[in-house]
Amino acid sequence: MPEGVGAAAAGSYPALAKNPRLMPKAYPIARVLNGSRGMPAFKSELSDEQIAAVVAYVRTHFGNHYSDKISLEDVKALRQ
Amino acid sequence: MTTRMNPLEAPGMKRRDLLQMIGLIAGGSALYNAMSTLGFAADSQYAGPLTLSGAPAGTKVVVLGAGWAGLIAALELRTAGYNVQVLDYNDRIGGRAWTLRGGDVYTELGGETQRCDFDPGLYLNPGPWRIPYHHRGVLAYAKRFNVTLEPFIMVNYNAYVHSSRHFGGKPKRFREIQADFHGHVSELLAKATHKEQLDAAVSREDQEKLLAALRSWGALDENYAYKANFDSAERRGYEVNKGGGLMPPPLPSTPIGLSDLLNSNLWMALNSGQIHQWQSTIFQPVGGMDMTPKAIGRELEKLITLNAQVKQIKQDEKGVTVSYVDSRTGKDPRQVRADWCVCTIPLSILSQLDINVGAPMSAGINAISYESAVKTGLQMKRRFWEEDEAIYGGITFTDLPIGQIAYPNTSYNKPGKGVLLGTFAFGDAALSLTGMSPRQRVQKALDYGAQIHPQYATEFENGISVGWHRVPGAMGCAAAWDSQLEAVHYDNLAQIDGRIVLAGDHISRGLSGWQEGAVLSSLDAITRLHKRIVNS
Repeated sequence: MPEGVGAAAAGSYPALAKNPRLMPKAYPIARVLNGSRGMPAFKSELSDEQIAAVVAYVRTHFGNHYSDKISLEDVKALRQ
Repeated sequence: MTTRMNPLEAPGMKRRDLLQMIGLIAGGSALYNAMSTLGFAADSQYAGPLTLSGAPAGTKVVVLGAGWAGLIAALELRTAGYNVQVLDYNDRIGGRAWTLRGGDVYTELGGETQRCDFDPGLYLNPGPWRIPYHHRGVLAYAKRFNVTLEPFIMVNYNAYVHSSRHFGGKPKRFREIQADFHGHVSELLAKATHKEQLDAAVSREDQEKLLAALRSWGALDENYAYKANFDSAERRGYEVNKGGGLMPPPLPSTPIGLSDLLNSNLWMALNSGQIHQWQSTIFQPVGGMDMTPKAIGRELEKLITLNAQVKQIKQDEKGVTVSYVDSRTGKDPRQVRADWCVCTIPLSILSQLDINVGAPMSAGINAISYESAVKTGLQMKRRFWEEDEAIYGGITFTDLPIGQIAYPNTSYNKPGKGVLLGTFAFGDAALSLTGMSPRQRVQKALDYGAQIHPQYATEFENGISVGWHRVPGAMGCAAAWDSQLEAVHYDNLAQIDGRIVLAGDHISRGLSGWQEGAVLSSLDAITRLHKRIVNS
């Protein structure tokens, strides 16, 4: 959604913007890797580098300020 | 020569009589098995019209969703004598079997509203758009509700296959690629046969037959070579086609070399029409894919509540309570109390609702992600693909992110406007397009499509685009099953859980995203539910 605000209808997409659940980095890494409910998994589409980059981006944009580094090891550890 | 009798056929008994007898004695599944043995039904697990009866008086079933699965459940359970009520999130009937026409207004997740500006008679099917001949359940309901079908052109020999990176980005005709691929492969195999390289695998006698077959299949000349001549031209087309009078004589076209052909990857587009689910004959309803659901919906009108957003599905020992609000306002909370519930809500949404089912079903509901898909319809001032390029219906395949361009399979050779399917994207390309605004998605369809049809620049009038992860009542295109997920969760999702049974294309094996999956899943679910009810 524009500006990461999320959207709601019959179900909803949570907002990326100002979302405290992004604080522990394992949470967004696991979501992007393995998907969740209707959200597809990206573990076969994206490399560890790409996933680290996506997660680092959302954690430092849309009003999020979690600037601790996402390492490749962080991603590797959560790959199922 | 005497006709060899079917061993199952008693003297004086026709096959149909035999089948009726088996059906009467042993019931539907035996009839189906017998039909399969006789080669009638092997292509479909649709076992004929459902004949449920004897619902206990006053038993109420609430059906969630008015797409194919919900409509079929409501229709057949009502016939069986149940008191049925249907709730649906949308302001229309049909679910993903949906057609956009001029005047329709569509607001997607994210809040952007598009108005469809197509001329009268023109439409886009954002969801399912074809019905294979072996989808006997969908075909049976279309027939029962008097919906007219017409052929969907899956393979058009004159449509394009296109690689942006080969042949200077110029599209090739399907017939050229197919003829050349068959021709080169045949020539190679014939060479190997002549060099006795196949002796270990094919007997000498069979080699003679193989060579004859290769010559015929690949349009090879008398020396088993595939080259520019009238035989290959009859497959791939002519440089100068046949004429009359003093018109120039015909001239064969020149095949593409094997290496160029292989490297272009265009051969990847050859198989789609050979795959069971896309084989000819394949149909579309005249006027749009929502015709059958709408017809069923008209019969059930009084039972259906639209604009109903389910919030909670709570079962207890005696029944099920469904809580819902008005989906337009989020207000006006209401409840339905029923004895049983058939829930056809897609798992993408059901996984976010408050539903008390057992742990195995709950795990299944939460485990399945949804495929991504984007369709974009483009209205053009004239049918230039027909007038300029002799493409009547069918599909052009491209390696560009738009995936496909599909031409209307109706009103051929008529003057006037037409609507192209300008994008049919899946996977990563679809996710990326879904992230854009509708206006951007239409612009992408135009920019990419103009690489194949430069006429876009002058002929485009208006467009509308649907990214399935943004569709409010679906939040995805179809359940993304794989064999691992199926092994763990499928049976758990299909079982009746207390007083709730799930149905929909997401509870089908290999028919996810197909209307037939919804029909067969629904028929199977309500048959089991009915049995459970009358036996309890």
